[in-house]
Amino acid sequence: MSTALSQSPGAGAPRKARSRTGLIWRIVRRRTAAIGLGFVVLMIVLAVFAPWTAPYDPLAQDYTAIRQPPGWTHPFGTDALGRDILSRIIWGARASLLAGTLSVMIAMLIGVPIGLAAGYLGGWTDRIVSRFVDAILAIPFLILAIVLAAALGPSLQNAMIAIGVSAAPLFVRLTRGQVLGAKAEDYVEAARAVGNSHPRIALRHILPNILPALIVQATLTLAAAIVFEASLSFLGLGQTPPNPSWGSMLNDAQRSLSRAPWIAVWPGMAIFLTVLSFNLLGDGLRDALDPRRGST
Amino acid sequence: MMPRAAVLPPPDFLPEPDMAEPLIEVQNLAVDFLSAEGPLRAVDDVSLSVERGRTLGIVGESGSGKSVTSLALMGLLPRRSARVSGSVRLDGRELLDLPETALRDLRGDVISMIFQEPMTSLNPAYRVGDQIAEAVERHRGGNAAAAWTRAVEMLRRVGVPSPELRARDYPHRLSGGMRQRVMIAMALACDPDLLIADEPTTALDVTIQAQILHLMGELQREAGTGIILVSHDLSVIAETCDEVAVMYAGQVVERAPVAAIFEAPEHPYTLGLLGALPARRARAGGARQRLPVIPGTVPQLHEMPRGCRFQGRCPFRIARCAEPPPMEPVGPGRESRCWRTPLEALAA
Repeated sequence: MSTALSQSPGAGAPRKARSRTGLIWRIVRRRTAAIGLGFVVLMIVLAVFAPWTAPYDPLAQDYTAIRQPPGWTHPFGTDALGRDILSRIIWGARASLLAGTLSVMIAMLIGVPIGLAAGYLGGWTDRIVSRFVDAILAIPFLILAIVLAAALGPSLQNAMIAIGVSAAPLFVRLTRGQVLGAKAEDYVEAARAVGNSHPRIALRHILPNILPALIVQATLTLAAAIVFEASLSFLGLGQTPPNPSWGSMLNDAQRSLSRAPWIAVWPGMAIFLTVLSFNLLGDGLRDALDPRRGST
Repeated sequence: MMPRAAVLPPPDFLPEPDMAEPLIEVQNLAVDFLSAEGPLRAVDDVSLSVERGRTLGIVGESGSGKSVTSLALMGLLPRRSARVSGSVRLDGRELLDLPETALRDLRGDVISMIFQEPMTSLNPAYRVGDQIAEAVERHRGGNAAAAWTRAVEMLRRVGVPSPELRARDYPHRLSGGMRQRVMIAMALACDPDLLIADEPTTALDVTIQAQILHLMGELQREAGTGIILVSHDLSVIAETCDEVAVMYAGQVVERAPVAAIFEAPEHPYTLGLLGALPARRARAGGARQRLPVIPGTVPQLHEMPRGCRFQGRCPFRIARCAEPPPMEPVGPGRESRCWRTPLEALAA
């Protein structure tokens, strides 16, 4: 009997693939995704341990060392107020990653339940939700986030809420589509045939099966959210000065762009590399979690 | 009220169900699907009954309403788009009047179902033991450990080797035959009175098919389960069933004990089905002749003829076939929906 089992088609290859280590292995095996993952982990470590990893106090002003180019004492140089740019980048990573993560969590907390309900219940619920989402998605994302952030008042917390609410329709639409597909699966009917209730089927049987798609979308949205946090901070609607954020650092830098370009280059690079890393990681995850590559 | 003369139901004032009363009694079941062009009747005037420990086979081509009938019995048709009428009495209880919550309590506990596709009927996100345990916890309560123990026990009963280990496997690690055993374990975990098996072996190899059918029969003898076996495969029906209902275009056209129907079919459609069995023709001594087929196709739901639904393809058609024939007794325990039965008279 055990031979019959091991010889069944497709039973061998995906055996490891299901385990958690298998998933990480599949990401690491793809070089670009591994680089993305590595950089993301590095940024997270730097940001989490910012009090120890940053060489200077990010708010400490030193009028004897204003707009110093990168050198031995200040590896990334100093800004117009003599603050150490490396330290501000590291502390700014906190704001960016926190804003990215929390706003995606807000977006998912709003979007996934609504999408799940719309996709599962169908009918009028679906029609109303879908039209509403279409209408919101017709508004440019940044404009919507700016309007919300301006209405809530400038603060990092409000920027996160604004980005989260603006991104929620993306998750509504994605979740709805995935649920529509999963709902027609035989195992859903089988789950009903053993007497499961609708909420239980939606949460326990459908949700885990659409999770891979949501994780990929979350990673890619995180990258976008970091850009939007920087945009809002650049416009003065996010992180409040003097606290560092990559977006507000860019804003400060533009006044002395010709005299001290490094003040702008470092936060720009930080945004660029972090967003790129999240995108590479997201693409890698998409490939690694793709059910057509043999995990089912 | 009762068209069947053989078995009279006990009067309503008797609370105890009579032993002679069938486990499930379906009368004049009809299913209408609501569509933009008005309701489409997918199942019409279906009457069936199954006794404890017995197996009823429902046979017919694709689109004959077999699966819709079984889903209707489970109450699994979407309430928004399907209207079910008639009567389905399980142990004297009218199922069609029950609210969804009460039906949910019955499903998986008193009535269970096995589906056609074992490859896709198990949730890929959960270990198979969890899926069986879920059904047990749902209906039997108790803690998770007890439900898990029951799941392992059920896997052993359905012949899954080293069930303790297999219970921890995800479905993709099991072969089709093993998955169907898991589905059977899941369906039987709460000792249901009635098991509806919708083409349970169609997706499996012939050897595995025989194992699964044998297993179902064995479990039935142990627990006295009534089984409704839906199949398009007459050989499967012949091997496993006590009684057969032949469905055509949403109606039961003939109902008879299994031996009788293979001996002497009383409906032209059944005759055609039997004629299309390759093995039967070979045994009859026909050297390489063309496989006989019933000419034509099943009429579409929206263009169903007013009279007999088989008239367009029937070699015995007469003028009277333009009127709808009723289901009429044609012998002991058998009925046929044809103006021209008994067919033996025609051959003479």
